Amino acid sequence: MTVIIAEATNVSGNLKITAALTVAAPAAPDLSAEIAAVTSLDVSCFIRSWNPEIQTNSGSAPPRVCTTAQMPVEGYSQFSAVELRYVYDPQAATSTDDNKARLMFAQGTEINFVVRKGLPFTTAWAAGQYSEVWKMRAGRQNYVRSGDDEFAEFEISQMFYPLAEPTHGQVVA
Amino acid sequence: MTEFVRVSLPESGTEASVSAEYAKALKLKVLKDERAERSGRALAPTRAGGRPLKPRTTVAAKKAAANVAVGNPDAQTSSAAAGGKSGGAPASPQGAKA
Repeated sequence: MTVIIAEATNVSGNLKITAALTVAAPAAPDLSAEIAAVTSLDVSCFIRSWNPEIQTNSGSAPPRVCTTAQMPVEGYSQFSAVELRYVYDPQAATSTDDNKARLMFAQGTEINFVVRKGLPFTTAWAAGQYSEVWKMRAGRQNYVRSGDDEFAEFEISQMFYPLAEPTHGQVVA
Repeated sequence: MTEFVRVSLPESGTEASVSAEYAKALKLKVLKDERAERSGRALAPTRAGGRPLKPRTTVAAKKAAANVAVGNPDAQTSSAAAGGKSGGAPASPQGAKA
């Protein structure tokens, strides 16, 4: 048997995230009408990190008198709210470019995050690329700072609440 | 609390709820003001410019108003019994029969 040395893809710089207001078919987000819509926003250079967590319960069926070994059984999947932290300009109008994420992610807004992994963020979206779509509802915007040292920046911390399971698919033209 | 409006998205033609501030900044076409439903009661209908529509008057109410003007109490009674909302004091059922 041939040994396959699978190639890994570096995350750094290879993540592109576009926030779209609507994605009609999450398995096939539309390039022109949804991803590149004027209402959509590429937030790759706004947010600090993207790593939603999903936990799957595991348990085991109640034992019987004769049971000598209990095997694990897969339970429900639990989606956690995702905290996103992103930059903004405290002294600019909300309509400015630096505040576009702040403006779009108003509390209660439903956002579809179309995520592309494994290609440089500078590469434009194109039909055929693989993507994930996360539909979430924006929580409260908390105006915080990134840290306590001299490198700290003003930023917004906001929870996003998944509304559906993420969908994996391909972009269509 | 965010003020939401229903907008039409230009490329896809689909609708979405966005903040009023966002819709204004992106000059999106607002379809429906969701604030109207907040109290459970719809806002009064308005014309395109935002002026309120003139309240509708039924034919019976108009007749009753006209009869009050000419001092015809019988006609007033009959139109009030028919459901007219304007005019003088409502007549008693006996008066309507007479």
